[in-house]
Amino acid sequence: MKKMYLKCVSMLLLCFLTITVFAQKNITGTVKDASGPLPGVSVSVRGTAKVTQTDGSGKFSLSVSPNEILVFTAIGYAKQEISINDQTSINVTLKESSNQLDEVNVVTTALGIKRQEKSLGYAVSTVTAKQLTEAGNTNFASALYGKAAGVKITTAPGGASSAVNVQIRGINSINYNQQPLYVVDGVMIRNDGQNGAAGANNNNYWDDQRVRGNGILDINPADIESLTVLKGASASALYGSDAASGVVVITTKKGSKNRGLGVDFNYQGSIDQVAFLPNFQNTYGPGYDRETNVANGATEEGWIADAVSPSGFRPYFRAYANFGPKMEGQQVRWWDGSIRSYSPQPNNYRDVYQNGYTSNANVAISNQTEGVNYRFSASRLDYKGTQPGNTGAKNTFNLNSTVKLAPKLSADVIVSYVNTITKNRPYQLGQVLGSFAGFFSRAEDMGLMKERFQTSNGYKYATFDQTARPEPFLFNIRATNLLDFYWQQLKNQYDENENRLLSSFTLNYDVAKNLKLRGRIGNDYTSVKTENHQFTEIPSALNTNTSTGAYTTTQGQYSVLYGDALLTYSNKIGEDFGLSISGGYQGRKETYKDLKSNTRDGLVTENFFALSNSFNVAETTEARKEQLKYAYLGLVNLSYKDFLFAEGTARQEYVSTLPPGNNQYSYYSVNSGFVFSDLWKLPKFWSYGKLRASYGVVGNAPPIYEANISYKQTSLQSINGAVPSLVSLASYGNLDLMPEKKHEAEFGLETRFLNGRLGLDVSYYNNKIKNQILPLDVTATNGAQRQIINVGEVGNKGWEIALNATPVSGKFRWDTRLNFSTNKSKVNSLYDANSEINFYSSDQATAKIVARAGEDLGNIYIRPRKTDANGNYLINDDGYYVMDNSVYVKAGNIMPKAVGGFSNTFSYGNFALDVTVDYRFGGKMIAPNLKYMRGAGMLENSMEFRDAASGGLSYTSNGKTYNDGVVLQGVNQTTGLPNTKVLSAADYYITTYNWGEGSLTEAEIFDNDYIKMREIVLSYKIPASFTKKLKISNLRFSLIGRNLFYIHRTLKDLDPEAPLGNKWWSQGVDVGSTAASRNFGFSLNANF
Amino acid sequence: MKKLIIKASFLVLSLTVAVGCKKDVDDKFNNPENVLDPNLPGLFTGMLNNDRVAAKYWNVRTFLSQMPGVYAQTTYFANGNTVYQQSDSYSQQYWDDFYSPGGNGSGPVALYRAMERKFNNLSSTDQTNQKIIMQAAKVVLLEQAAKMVDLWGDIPYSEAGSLTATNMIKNPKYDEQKALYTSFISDLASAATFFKTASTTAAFSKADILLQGNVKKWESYANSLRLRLLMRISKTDEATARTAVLQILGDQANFPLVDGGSDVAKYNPATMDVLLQPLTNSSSDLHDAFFEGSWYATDYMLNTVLLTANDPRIPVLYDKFGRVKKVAGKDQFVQNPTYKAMPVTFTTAQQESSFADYAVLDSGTFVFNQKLPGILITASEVNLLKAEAFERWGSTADAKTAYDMALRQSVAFYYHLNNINQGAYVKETFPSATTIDTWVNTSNAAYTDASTDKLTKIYTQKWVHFGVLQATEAWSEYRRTGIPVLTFPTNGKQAGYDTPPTRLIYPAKEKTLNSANYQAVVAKDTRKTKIFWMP
Repeated sequence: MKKMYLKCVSMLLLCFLTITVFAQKNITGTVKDASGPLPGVSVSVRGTAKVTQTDGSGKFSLSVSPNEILVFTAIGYAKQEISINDQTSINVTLKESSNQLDEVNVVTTALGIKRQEKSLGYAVSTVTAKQLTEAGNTNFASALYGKAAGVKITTAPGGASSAVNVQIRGINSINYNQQPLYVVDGVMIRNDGQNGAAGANNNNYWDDQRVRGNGILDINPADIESLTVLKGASASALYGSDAASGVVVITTKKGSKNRGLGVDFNYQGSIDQVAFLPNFQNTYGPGYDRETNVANGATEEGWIADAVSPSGFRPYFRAYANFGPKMEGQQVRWWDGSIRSYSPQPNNYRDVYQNGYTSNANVAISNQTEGVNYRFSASRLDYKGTQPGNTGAKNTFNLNSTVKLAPKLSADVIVSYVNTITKNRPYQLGQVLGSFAGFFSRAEDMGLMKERFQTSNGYKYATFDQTARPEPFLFNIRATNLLDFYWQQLKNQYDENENRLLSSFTLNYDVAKNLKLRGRIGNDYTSVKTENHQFTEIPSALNTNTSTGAYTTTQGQYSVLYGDALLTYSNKIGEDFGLSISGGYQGRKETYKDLKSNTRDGLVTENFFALSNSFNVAETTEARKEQLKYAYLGLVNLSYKDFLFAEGTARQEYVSTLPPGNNQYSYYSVNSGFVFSDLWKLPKFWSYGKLRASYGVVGNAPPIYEANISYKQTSLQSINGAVPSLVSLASYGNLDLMPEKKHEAEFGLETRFLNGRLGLDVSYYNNKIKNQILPLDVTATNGAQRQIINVGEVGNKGWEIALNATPVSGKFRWDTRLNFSTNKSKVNSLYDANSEINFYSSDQATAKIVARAGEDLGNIYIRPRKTDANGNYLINDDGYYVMDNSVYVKAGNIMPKAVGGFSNTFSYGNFALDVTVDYRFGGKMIAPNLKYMRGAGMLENSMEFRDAASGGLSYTSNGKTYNDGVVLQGVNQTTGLPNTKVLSAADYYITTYNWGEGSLTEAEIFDNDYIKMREIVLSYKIPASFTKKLKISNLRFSLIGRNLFYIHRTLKDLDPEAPLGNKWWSQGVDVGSTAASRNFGFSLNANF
Repeated sequence: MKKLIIKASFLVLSLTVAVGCKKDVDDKFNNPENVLDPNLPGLFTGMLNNDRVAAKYWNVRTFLSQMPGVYAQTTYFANGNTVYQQSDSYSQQYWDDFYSPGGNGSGPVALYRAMERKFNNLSSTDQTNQKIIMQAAKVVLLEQAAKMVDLWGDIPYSEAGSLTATNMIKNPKYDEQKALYTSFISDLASAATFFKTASTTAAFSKADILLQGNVKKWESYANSLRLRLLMRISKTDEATARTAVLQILGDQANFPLVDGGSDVAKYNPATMDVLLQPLTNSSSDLHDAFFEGSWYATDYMLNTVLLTANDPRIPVLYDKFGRVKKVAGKDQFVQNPTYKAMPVTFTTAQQESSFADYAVLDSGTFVFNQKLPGILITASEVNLLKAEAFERWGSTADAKTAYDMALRQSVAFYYHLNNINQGAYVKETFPSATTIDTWVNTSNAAYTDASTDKLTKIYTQKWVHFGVLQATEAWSEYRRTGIPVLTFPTNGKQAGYDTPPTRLIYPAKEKTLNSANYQAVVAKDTRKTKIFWMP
């Protein structure tokens, strides 16, 4: 303490000395902008701490020396520097700034505290309203692609109702809370808390197959004024738990200062088309290898004899593979009895989908008067998805107002109401693309499938063996899972109606000079009602003990109640020291209630959807979840002369999701910024330079009830009457569970050259997240499937580089922004040094994603091919590779090594062209479906060897000559001699690219690098001379293209962004989602 | 007005602090829907309510009809190229369901360990009162554990269930299969001894949704299970089996069995066999399980065994099925003239085109029977076990008595199952005494010929009796006895999977997550390794 005191005193003295060196004089002046005097402009002397502000009439006065330079800064205006020389009075006119580089950026940091970007000791990324809205994205998160360094976005396919994942700086928790915390106007909002630990979307074959959304989709991009991403622990420490994965701070638009009454209108419309589909072969139809064909009763080639068929044969409709006869237009009897030509259907997968559209209109009125500032906006979004049956609409109303209640008291009242209607939310296609029961042949006509999923009377299709049902198919066909998909999307009706109210009330009170009190209470309340109408599948006359069809209704009520209070004392100590001390409280209560009622065993009356129409006694189940988190916090800010800044924070947190005894913990952070360009004289071209350093700790708690050790009671209606049964849970709790803690150090450099025409921001971070909480999968022999435990430590380190430049300015102007980030996540330790955590395993565990101590997180291990001592592949007597099921070898890592974006804005006169490219390099994808599809001969990559022209060998078998031979390179397993066994191409693909043990595991691991043309916006500002006549102050028309094409991609048969799922590893695994889309549209912006 | 606004504002502000306090944080930790301190009766009921025992869709569809039923041919299967390949995920689920709740079984191991833990913390008085629940739970556990050994061989058992036992993870070692069987047999003996003198309690009777607290039946059940296990080991450890079995059979007063009594007319499966009755509000039946691929009659059972003997069970085991045909210009369902099953050698194309000409499982007995119980042990099985023991180690006359009784009980059993169905399905009338007598005495099922033929008949009849519902037992007995001699088509099969396995390989997750202990059994983990009781 004493040391600290001495340091302060000596620094103080030092400052005093610098000030007295020069002869002083007073300078006065007035600052204006185009419309008149400008109050609140900061006037400072470069390289000193001397600073003042203009008064209500734009006037200022300051004591200076002649050789000094005055700096004028104000939000929304270009910075101006003026040498004083002999002047004693200066009049300055500031220009409104279009280039944010010149602005004095004020950013909203943790707890809504506004600070100059200059004073921050950590990196933040700020994204402007224009960047969020110009390309017409229906949600703000999808607009962030490539725009913020270190932020990785993944939008689930399916359109406007699908969730968007945001990942900031690598993996902060290997199981929970990998999504950032979203704070809108100071209130923490619900993202997908109602889903608990599971998250919004799974990526597995069996569970909920709908592509779900998350809460951030409700925040209307058109209402956002600014968005700040707080990345590191120090930046987010004040938000505590849930902020471990970063914080996105959103401020909505207020009434504009200098416009008076204003009306804004925006409209965006776009067409959405599926894109980036697999490359299918279009030569061969259904059938297997010759032996299987014959064993199953077909000809060698794959025809089934059929006297009624014009050609005497019909295709083998039951075959999942496509090694059958060439499709040459032969006339054959089809499975529905019709006579068709046996021809390729190159677009049959595309035809599963439809063209969608999106239409989004927004109108806002704003005003500012003496006592009240308000903005009211209304938006309407309509869309039709690319999946058949999917449509939706969203109405958003937002009111943002500030009311001056008394001279020292003002209140901000913000209310948003969002109504969302979603019909037949997109369905995952995993059961079509990842199961042989969904594989349709290259000869299948999608029009017929779309017609025959129901009978002529509207009942569900009947397979060939369901002879008791109406209109059974003539033959056994394969792709019934696809028919089920159509039944689900085209027949059944699944409607969601969600109403959400977000409110925030903030009171600002100037208690005394230098003492401010701010209190806030906010609420995020959602009510969701869904109705699922499942139509009667078979005529009720054919019912047995049960009926078909169903009606299910659910009601959800999700509420977040948030409150904080902050008392701040700030003052100057002497000329140069600034001090601010705050203390406060922050609390949050979340309640999630879900009630589900459904009919049981079908409907009595066909297609009458009511619980009272239940065949058996209708059922109701309820889930209730509640959690409470609150904290006491404090922070201290110090500044010295406007170039040296320091901040310290501390937080004591209480969390209900941790076991009593472990449910309170505390942590802290410190950070410091040093604007060296204000202290040292830099070369002229070097306009600005700042160094940052920070260190912080953030805690993180498990989701609701995950740590409980409890038993589930069910009341059984048994032969003994109602008897309670108790069972333990498959997920076992842990009463010794401790919070995760992330410790992060960060260093950064921010510089600008040539008066801001070139800027560079570099950050390096290194973190450790200790006591990782994970529901560790254990062998069920432990008595449960998993237990929640503290498994060990994970660390991330990485670089974030953002570069911006204006290479050309003038009438033609070119602004360019490049950002690049790398991240490496490593497992530093696990609870047991030799253990491994298995996150995902596919295909009978032939490939798996695991964590092992000391290794990178996200490593893929697979079963390799067996080799001899010389590294030759071993080939078995049947001619196939021998897979080594005794070991696993590393086959890469799913985590991208680098992500980033490259944006360019070209403007010429009234024209502007914005081009955004984003990229991801390194990192692999496990895509078992692509292996199965290749094995089934569906893809172009299964064409090799099928005939002599494609490299097939000629060989003779049973006296016949074939040209589809393959000899795998390697040596015979038993003899050690080079392999000579000839396989047919069909045998080779079907066996090598089959599922499960024995198949070639490498064939499901793919590199996943891409550079994508994300957005192109060409806009034209209608000349003011024309718009003035219409009383429009600003009118802009834009053409928009999103997700246009890949400049480069390594994954040929799958969209790199196809995977679904909320887990950190989900983005490295595809189990079949839905097709990605490409969007074209236009937008119109008008200000009145 | 302004003052009012200010005051109101501060009131709202002060509410922010009311969001929560320390006590609330502790109180909100536990899920209000769940129970924190379980009791023994509740856990015992939880163990009994096991969907791996009950006649449930998932077990029949994904386990019995996919693996044991195929390997024992008690289930019809489509002749695909991977038909003998074990389904890893489905066998994983069966495995998991034995150890942990949360799937389709009750997780008997986890619940039994929780019961032991609770029991050890009871006062000695409470322990005395509740011991009966522990003993019954042990029997329930052992029945399932023995099936696990029959399927896999060595399994984790003695160290399994550490989470519910101690709240800690401890991956269990694999116990050697023969030693396990020995311990099961001895544990069953002590349970039977306990029940001999135990008196029931109200709590036990209420919680016991299997035998309603009837100690006499628990005693017989324990003895019968022990008999089953002893006969299972009798081909590889004949001395042990013989001594113990002869002791049981020689002292029926002290070792009561689930044998249905000596008068077949008084045999009532509902009260005398050990059957898990469906919950009274259960409406499920097995139609989906069978319609999804295993609905058809099996070749050897119907064509070779039942039809040639004019077996009286045929009408309750099968429907003739048929096709919709134009009769006098109208679509009409025309039944096939006779019962017959598709040959097991049919290609899939043949199966697909001609399935309607062949018999299917009986709709009243199997397909639409909501009252179908879970079968644990039946009198017919017990009498066939007795018959085998007498034939091998005692008098063939005693063997015949037991065998004939078993046959008659099996008829009664299947007609019972057929007659309890609640729907509008044909309830077959019980065959006449003459029909049954002719079958028992003079058909090719009659207990005649040389001793080996007699044993073959015992094994064959047991295989028939187990049928589609007790496929796991059928597969075990088929592997132990090699009877009946079945043909498995091998053409067009995936390399390495051209014949059925002799055991299941350990599921993938178990291998990965319990890898250290798995190393000890990795050498035995092939699909053709024999279970220790296989000769």
